Amino acid sequence: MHEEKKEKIERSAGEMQKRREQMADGKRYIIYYTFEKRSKESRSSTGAGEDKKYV
Amino acid sequence: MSELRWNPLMGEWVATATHRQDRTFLPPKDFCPLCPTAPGGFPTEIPEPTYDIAVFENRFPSLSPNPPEPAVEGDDFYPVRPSFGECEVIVYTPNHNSTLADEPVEQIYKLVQVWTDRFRDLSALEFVKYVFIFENKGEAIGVTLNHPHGQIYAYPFVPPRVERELEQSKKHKEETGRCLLCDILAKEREDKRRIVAENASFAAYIPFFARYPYELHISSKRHAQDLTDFSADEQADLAEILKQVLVGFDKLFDLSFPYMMVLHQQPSDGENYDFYHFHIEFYPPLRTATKLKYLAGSESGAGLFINDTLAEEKAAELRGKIENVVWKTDE
Repeated sequence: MHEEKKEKIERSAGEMQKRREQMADGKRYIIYYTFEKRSKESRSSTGAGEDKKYV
Repeated sequence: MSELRWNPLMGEWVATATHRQDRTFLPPKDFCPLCPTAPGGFPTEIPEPTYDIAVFENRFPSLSPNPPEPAVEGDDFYPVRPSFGECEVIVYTPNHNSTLADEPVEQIYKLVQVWTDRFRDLSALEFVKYVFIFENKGEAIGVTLNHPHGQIYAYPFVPPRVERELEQSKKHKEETGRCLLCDILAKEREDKRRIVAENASFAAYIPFFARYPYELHISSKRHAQDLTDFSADEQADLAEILKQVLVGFDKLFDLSFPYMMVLHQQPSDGENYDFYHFHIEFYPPLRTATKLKYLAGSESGAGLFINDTLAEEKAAELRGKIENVVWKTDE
């Protein structure tokens, strides 16, 4: 039951990715969240690979 | 200018943020700063055309990682602090004309994941002691931008209302050995009259002690302290019950229902709060389709809310508007 639900969610919503950038004013940050639907075979680690450390 | 001024009469901080007087106020749709920048259009806050959810630092923050020097000097009697903190805007969707209620459950599930990510990141900041996620929806609440969005305030202290919940929860734990909110939830589920919706992981109810006619709480059935405690299944269940409640609200009066939605989680100050319990509270200002519940003399001056309705009746009304949620993969 739980596995079915998890599978359903992953298929319909996708996996979270985030990308952090500086805004046009050069002072603030913006983070884009996207959710990519991937097959199990091509799935890699979630997320924050491109995320910059907050300073 | 912005700073934190201590109110010795109430024992709490007040934030001043004079620059917010000049913030964008209900711009026409073509000049919405939360829409993706259109080709050849004016530059909005979000240049990227494709995203699911975007989060950025508020242009008019009440709290900042680099706050200005306070406008006035404090002393022992009237302490003043720089307004350290963080204010983020969460844009729920690129679609200007949507609302969270209009979004598919998949998008709300994505939002739950983004909330969790922001809670985790902001909690890690040294100057942050409490991460407060909320949404003000509707002009009746005072929103200045209609594009669907929420906000996060990362405070340098635990805010007073949460502090009071923490005190009550700790006291109950010491006296009974049990969690206060687990007991509230058990009482509500046993009584059933005020339950609005339920699934495997969460229950939505108009609490016995509701202050607003349609005040609604969503509590996790499992004793959990914050969003990071939830599994993927629980995140999905939270998205489902949020979708049910939000759609139910809109169906009450066949209008886009205004509300304040606030997430109450444990503080991020490193202390142990295992006696506390995650929940979400909604404070809708409408008491009928055309009448607002005002915070007048008794509410504002004495702190005693006068609710013109019975929670049992309002819960039955809202329960009648709850519909099943359909995930795309169910179709």
